[in-house]
Amino acid sequence: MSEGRPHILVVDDESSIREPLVRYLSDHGFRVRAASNASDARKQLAAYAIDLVVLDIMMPGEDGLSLCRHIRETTDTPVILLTARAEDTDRIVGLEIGADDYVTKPFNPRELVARIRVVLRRVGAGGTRVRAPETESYAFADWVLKAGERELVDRDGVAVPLSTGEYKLLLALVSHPRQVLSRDQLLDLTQGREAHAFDRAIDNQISRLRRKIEADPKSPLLIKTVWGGGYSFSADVTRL
Amino acid sequence: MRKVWPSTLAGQLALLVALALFIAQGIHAFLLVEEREERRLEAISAPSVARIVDVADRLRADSALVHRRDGFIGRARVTPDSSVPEHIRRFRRAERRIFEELRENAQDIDDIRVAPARREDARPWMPGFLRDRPARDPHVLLVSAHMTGGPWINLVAPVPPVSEGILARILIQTGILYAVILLALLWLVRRSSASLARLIRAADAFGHGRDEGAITESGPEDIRHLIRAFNGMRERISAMLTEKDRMIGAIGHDLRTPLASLRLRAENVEEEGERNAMIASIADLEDTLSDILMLARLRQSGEEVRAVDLLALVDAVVEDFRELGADVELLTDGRVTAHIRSNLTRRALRNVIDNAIKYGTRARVRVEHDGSDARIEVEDDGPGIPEEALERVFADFERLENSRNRGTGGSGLGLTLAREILRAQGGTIELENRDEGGLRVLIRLPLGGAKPG
Repeated sequence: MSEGRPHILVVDDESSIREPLVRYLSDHGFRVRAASNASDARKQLAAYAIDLVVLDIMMPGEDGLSLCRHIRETTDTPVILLTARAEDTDRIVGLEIGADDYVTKPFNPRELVARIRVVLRRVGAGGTRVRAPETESYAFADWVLKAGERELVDRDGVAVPLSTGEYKLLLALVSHPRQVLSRDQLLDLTQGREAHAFDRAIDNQISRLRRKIEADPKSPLLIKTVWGGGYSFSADVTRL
Repeated sequence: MRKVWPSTLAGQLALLVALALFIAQGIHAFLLVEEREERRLEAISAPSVARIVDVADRLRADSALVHRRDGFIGRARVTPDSSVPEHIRRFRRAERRIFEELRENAQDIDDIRVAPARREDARPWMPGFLRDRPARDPHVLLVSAHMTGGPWINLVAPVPPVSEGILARILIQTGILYAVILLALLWLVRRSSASLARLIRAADAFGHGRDEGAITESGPEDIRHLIRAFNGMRERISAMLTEKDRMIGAIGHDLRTPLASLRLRAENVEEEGERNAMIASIADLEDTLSDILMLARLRQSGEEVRAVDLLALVDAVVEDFRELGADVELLTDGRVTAHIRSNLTRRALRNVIDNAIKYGTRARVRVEHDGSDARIEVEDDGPGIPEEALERVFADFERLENSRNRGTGGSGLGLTLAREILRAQGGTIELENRDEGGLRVLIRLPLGGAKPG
């Protein structure tokens, strides 16, 4: 927090990851500490004001999941998990251990930085801690949006797959129901990091979404256009 | 022949046993009839032989008897000619039998004739007291024996009753036999074929990558043995596959860590062109690795078959490419519900469309369906593929070097992966060159999806 530079703790037993990661994060405006195992990490967490932990799941001795649970029980420090195996993501989702996000090795370091910023912004804004977003489902009207699956499910249980863009846009809308979201905000929410899409694309995707979820896309009841503003999602959303 | 001969074990067994029973019953019936016939002959020959011997004795003792006015000696009438003309239908078996029996007691009898006749025609050969006796049977037998150098001794014998209903009795007996044996057989066959059918289903499913666990042993001992052998084999293969998955998982992990390290260090390369080239190579490696891992563990994919709007799925994949700026068009509109593995199917389609864009610059996608199958067509404007290589592109790591250089990247596993994903759901994928140029990929996917069993 001091000097306004966020303080990151990188926990990974692999020095080949830990060292370049520490360097990369330092180069991108973070103060960085490193720990090569869970007990070292616990000591540093106790000794320093850490703003965010980047944590490898697979470690000898106490593993990352266990340490993550410990952090969640004792502090509010956000955690981003590093996983090396695709099936670990299932475990993360299943365990709901309270990580704020995760990336799969080998990860794009720029993406990791973007995610760190998103999580810090969310926590810094006094936002309530949300679980890893992939674990949730949102129910509205006749639909359920399954976040992990990138699919809508209709009343009869038939899944309607969404494109990445449609999914992110709908996720942004249903997680801010009955709020006016400008195209700018929607871009922020959907692009996260590299924003090379433009307003037109948002309108385009809105109309695609309307074709999929509205009974009559010409007079939409769920995704409403707000004059001069943007869009608002005007249905009750239940988190499942 | 094909129609008559049943194809299943149960059918063949039943037919075979029915045939064997039929033959056995036939022989049985023949023997039975033969025995009855023998007794009937006995009933004809015994009294006739006694009477002929008696008359012959009396004639030998007193040859003047021949000249009695009416020719009757007891019940026999003695005449110069036989009561049975030589050339009518005669009862040869009875003749032979009587002849043989006579030979012991009356060697001078040299000819015997026996023939059936109507009762009224036989009247001249009957003694007076028999002629008008009422009789139920309108048929009689004429028996005529010739004494060497002497007259014919003619008798009229009753026809012993043919044992009626013997055929009916045999038929009933056969019916009962059939019923009992076939019922027992059916029970046995059903018992074994139920176990066999389960074994067949399990082996089929296992062959298609669906492991339904060990089968409980049941049925006759040899089938139990077969099931035991199958279970053992299944276990060994499962263990091998599990070991393979574990190993590939471990390899994947071991490769991912150094890749992640490389990716991080690449950021430190000062020169931008060099850095981007490195990052692209690492991304390529990463894709290949993930394709290999996915292909190797397709069997393990826990994804369930669910009802999915297939057109929305195709549309989502197409849209993903459009969001990245690719020239892809979906020419079909509407809704088709399919029972499929949604994420895997997405992946298969992505690989196919990705190929079309990479090698054919732009892709057009069409979806058709009838009640049972969906047909997805992906066309591109590329150079196509030489006819002889159309099948080869599905082979692992195959890349057609002349049309597809390394610069286009990819692991060469894309189509293999797509085909495996589709096959696991009962689908097919084929390539063909379009007449107008370019390649057409035809995907056929059952709407019902892969159902166990």
